[in-house]
Amino acid sequence: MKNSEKFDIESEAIERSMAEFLKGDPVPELDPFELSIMTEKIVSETTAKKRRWFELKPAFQVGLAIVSVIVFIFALNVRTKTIKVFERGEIHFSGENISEKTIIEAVEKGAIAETEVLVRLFDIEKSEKDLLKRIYARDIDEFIDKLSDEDVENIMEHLDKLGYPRSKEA
Amino acid sequence: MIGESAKKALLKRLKEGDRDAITEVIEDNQRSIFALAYRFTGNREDAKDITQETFMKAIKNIKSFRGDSEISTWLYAIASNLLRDKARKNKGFETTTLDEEIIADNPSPLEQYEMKERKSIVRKALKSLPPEMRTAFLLRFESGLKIAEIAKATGKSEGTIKAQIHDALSRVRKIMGGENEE
Repeated sequence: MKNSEKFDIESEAIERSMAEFLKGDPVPELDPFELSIMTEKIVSETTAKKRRWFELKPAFQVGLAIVSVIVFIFALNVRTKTIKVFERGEIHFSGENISEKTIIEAVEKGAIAETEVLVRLFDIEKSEKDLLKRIYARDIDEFIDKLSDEDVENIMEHLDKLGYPRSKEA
Repeated sequence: MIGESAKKALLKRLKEGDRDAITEVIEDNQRSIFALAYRFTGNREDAKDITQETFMKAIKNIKSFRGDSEISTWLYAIASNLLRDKARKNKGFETTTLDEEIIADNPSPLEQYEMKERKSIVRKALKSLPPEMRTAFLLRFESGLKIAEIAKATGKSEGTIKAQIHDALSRVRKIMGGENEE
């Protein structure tokens, strides 16, 4: 056999030759029991993720609704604050001059972000603010799917702070 | 291979996490993925782990699969990456003792000897191939993929795949020729 020989790697002859060669060491098969166990493990992993999705999605939705409600029914005995919202500018409000309507209009116009109001009003730390913004910005399904267990735990703690019960059964 | 509309329907069900769809994909592809992993590692347990990991990873990332290739090609891609990563970590796998395998079949002593010899040559030949070359070779001759499909599965150019397979064939044939004096 010549080492420098050129051969057509896609030819049927080569395919047959190699198939015959590989038959010399046949590949064992997974027995039905092994296959069944493996399938069950894989499917269970998916089911666990789905369960988590069902548990979290209502929590997220209600959590976000609560945030909106808090903004809209906020009791207005606050001291004057200036809220700087990145490039959106500032709004000034005080306990005497502010009204629910003003806040609602400001949020609707995008003059202030709901999360920003939440941050300021409830004095939430910056890292938590970022997390809330991520929740708003992302498609919820995609977001939940990509969560790690640690992320889930952190988010549930935030929702606890908002007064949402920890989990509901699917 | 299934028709285009059936493939789309299956993909949709997979993305929805349909249990039956997942089971269907596993049943249709486990043999070929296991075979690839077994040939690559020479070890049944490693092959089983890789097979399971392949499907787990596929299901986890199903939403990122656009369906522009066959599901099987995509699975081969995942398996190839897992095998490559494992090869990098382990620098080779432990192979099962041939004696343990043959005993179960109960052949005559002469048959046992011949089977053992043939297996030994195959494994020696495959082990002689560097991991990437081994993957290309196996995808071509174990899995039966065309060059274009192998290129897609491995992320390499068709030219590179052809060169790898050509080189692999030379090495394998050298070992075959060296062991099987005629």
